[in-house]
Amino acid sequence: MMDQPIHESQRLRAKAASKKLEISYAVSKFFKVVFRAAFLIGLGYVMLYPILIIFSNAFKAKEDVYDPTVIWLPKHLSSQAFTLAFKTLDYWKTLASTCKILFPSLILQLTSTVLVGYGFARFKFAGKGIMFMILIFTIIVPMQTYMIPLYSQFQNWGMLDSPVSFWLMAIGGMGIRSGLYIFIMRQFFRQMPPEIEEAALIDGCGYFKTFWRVMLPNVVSAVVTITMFSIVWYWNDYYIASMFYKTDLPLSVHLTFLQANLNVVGKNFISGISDTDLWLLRESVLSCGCLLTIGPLLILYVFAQRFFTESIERTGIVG
Amino acid sequence: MSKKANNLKTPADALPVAKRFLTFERRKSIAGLCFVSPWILGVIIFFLVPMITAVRYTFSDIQMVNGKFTLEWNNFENYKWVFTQDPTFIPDELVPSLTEMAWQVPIVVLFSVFVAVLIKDKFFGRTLARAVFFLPVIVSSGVVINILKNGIMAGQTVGGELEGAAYMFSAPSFTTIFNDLGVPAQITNIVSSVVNEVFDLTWKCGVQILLLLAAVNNIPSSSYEVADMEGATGWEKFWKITFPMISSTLLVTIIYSIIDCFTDSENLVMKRMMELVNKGAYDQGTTIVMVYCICVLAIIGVVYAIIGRFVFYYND
Repeated sequence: MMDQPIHESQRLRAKAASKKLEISYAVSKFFKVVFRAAFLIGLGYVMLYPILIIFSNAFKAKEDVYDPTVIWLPKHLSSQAFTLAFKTLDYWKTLASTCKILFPSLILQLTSTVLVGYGFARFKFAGKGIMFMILIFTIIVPMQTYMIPLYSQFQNWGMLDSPVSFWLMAIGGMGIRSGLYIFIMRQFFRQMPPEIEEAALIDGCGYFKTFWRVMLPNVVSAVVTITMFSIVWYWNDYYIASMFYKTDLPLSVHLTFLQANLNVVGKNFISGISDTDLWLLRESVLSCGCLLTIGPLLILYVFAQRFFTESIERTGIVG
Repeated sequence: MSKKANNLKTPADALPVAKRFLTFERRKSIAGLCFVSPWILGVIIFFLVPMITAVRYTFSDIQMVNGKFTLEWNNFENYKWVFTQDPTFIPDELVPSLTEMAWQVPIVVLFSVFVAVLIKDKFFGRTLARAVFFLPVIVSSGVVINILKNGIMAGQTVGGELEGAAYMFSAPSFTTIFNDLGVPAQITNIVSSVVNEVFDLTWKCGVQILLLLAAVNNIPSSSYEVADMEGATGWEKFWKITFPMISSTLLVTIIYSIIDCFTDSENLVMKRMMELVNKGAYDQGTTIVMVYCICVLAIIGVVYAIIGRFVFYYND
């Protein structure tokens, strides 16, 4: 009989305490969400700023260039700048040149880096230590150091001005940042538990089959990541292409000559355009040039992004 | 390796000669060599041979005759020139670019870890956030960013100041406040340059964020579930689960950031090298890069030796 009121008050107190806890949990969660949102929106603005500038400038008409009331959205739209950029870049031909470098190199590079990364991660062989040291050197020694000898080597073989030089380097595991990809693959393969591989070997799987059927599906996230990097870096490569190419320039190199070329040949593309107009349109033309250069990558990314995140999550569950 | 070969000797004696020769270990090492073989060829042809030639360049006097190089051995003349005669290399290029690396790399790496952990959980708009963070990788690794900085954004700044052209944000008030507070000038400089280069720095993090995001996502969710059941706080979960599990990728990220800083075309030493090569001084240009390269190699060696101790591998 005496217990009843005490028990009741205890129960109430406990209820109040749990409610308090719930509220404090909700408050901390609310602050977490707000903080994350604020941070990501701010950072997103910094990241998006150049893209926004490109889009804002690309279709601006020349009337708006010195209009102080125009900040982001142009009042008059025109496609003149786009036409000028498209024709000055000789877009289809330049794009084809870039693709001739990109796609074969990409496949060759992926093949070589994944195989070599696996070899380094899971096998012991004579001279492995020294080879690994050399691999690290290929990553950290900048290409600029040995570019001149490399150039004369390709000159002797008559391979300048052709994508074959890129393909050869890609299959040899010396493509753009191949060393880094090999290193990444090695790290990923090393993190895998060795038991699954041993099980496959004991069950009579050959080395290559083990690699193909057991190990590779488990590192899909890493492979997708390096595919994305590889596409981007081959697409954007400026340094090597500018050394090896004199004619039939790929996009990234051609873009650097856009402004100079515009002044020379720009007049031929739009009849009756004056020098002043060309000068006024200069920023818009450069923006269009940038848009044409990164546009295909952006489109590709919009589609590949989904696949990219999915594959990351899938392997997250497997691992 | 030699120890294991010795162990195998006794039972293998009973086997026929061919099988005795191709022990499991040997077969495994041959398979390993097969996996690595494309790289071995590639590295000899496209790295070692050109690299040795480049080292020869640094010890030679190079003349261009009819589009071909003629080399003349001149001992350490080029190195002597770099260290004793060239007035600008050490104070104006080597030291500033190394200090820049020293403060940029930690900021970039810490920031990338922070962002990767922040966007790993499910939340509204995560796909969009991830898509946005890949943008720097697409844009900044090309010439596009240079055109943006020098051609387009330069025209956007109203005053047309030279500084404003390269930076999106500026921090003049910061510096005055810090100076009034009596903070040493070196620290003020570092802080203000960090603030000035927020744009550049965030744009340098794209690759690092992605690498770390992939690593963070590869951590089995069961370990977090266990930690939740045992009542671990978010802070404990980060240090006891996330941090050890991403430590190997973290090492890669740190080394990547150092190299990225170093091969950047805006890097002072690289600029000077291109200047010299354009003048036709191939030997001196190569020597400068070689000296810089050795410095960075030493730094990476130290970083690897120190951080490598703390890296956790799942299968060890």
